[in-house]
Amino acid sequence: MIITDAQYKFDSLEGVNSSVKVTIDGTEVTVPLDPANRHYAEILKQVADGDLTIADADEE
Amino acid sequence: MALIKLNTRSIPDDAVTPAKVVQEGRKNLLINGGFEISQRGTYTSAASYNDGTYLIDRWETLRDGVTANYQHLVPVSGESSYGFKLIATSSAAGAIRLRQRLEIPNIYKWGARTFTLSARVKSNSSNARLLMYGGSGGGYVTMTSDSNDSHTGGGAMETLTATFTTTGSVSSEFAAFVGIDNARSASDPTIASGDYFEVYDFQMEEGSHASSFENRTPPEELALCQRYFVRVGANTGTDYNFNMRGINAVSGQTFYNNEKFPTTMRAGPTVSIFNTSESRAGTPSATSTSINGMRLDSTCGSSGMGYYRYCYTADAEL
Repeated sequence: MIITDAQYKFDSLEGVNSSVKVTIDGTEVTVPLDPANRHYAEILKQVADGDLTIADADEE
Repeated sequence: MALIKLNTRSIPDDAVTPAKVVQEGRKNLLINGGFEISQRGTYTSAASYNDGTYLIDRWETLRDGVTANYQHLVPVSGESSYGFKLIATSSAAGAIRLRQRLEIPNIYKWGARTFTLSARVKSNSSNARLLMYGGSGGGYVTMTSDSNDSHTGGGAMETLTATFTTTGSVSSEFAAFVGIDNARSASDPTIASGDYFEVYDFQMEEGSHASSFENRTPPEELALCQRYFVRVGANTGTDYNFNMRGINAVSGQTFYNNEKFPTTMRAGPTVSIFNTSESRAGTPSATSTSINGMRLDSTCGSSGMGYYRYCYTADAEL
């Protein structure tokens, strides 16, 4: 699983980061902040290993 | 009329009676064991794949050490279901396998129980076999009955079976495998280019005996699959317009729209929005997703009556 270009998405209605916009194996997807989601679990693992950084959300 | 209560668990598995058959219910614990549902695409032409790729619903294609092709097999005369084929395209020590992970909470509830795997398999390798991962502490489960768990390698259709008993303490992964692999060994077998297996009617059922494959209807099987993966819309045709939202656009303003999934998903899914088009509205973006649905945001580029349309996938596979 090749993960690149990770960036938090800001939910302007709720006022919190709600998901991560990321490219997985060449496809841009939205990954929820749900540890049961296998992509988010892999993102957390790669962040912990120092292999991936999640950029801050764009300013609203 | 007197009511007779019958405890069917007291009936030996090999003494199947109509009473027990009626109460079997949904016996195949694997989903899409008939390999019929394929929401992600059409795979009837052979093509290469990367390790850990989901193609046909609920089945993860794996390869280790070798390159390989996959192919979705349509029913042929004498076969009761669809099938799936993996074939090595290089030679090395390795493995080519299909895996289906089961949701563990149910297994914990069952505790120490006996299950039987069965599948009809064609292969030219005597290392084509059924395996179960998830013993206490991890690793492949030791089968209590595995004399028929591997193929002869003669190329003919053979029914493989293997029985195991859970300990009530399952590791983090509980998964059924079919493929060319060594039985519970840390070392991979030698695979030659052209080694293949085809699998049909893969079933995991409670008890120590394999029974006939449970053929579920396509809509029922699709509904089960959609807990783990949903695709709405295709790249062309009428599906392209299925998800269309008409809006009274105001330049610079964001419209919010809720999309409910066909069923509650296992986890908050990874969402891919594709094949979009719009007028005055902005390209829709999934900002928030949950097990029930997602919210799409669209920031308008100009004012007036407009629309956007899109297709999506939602992936909550294990």
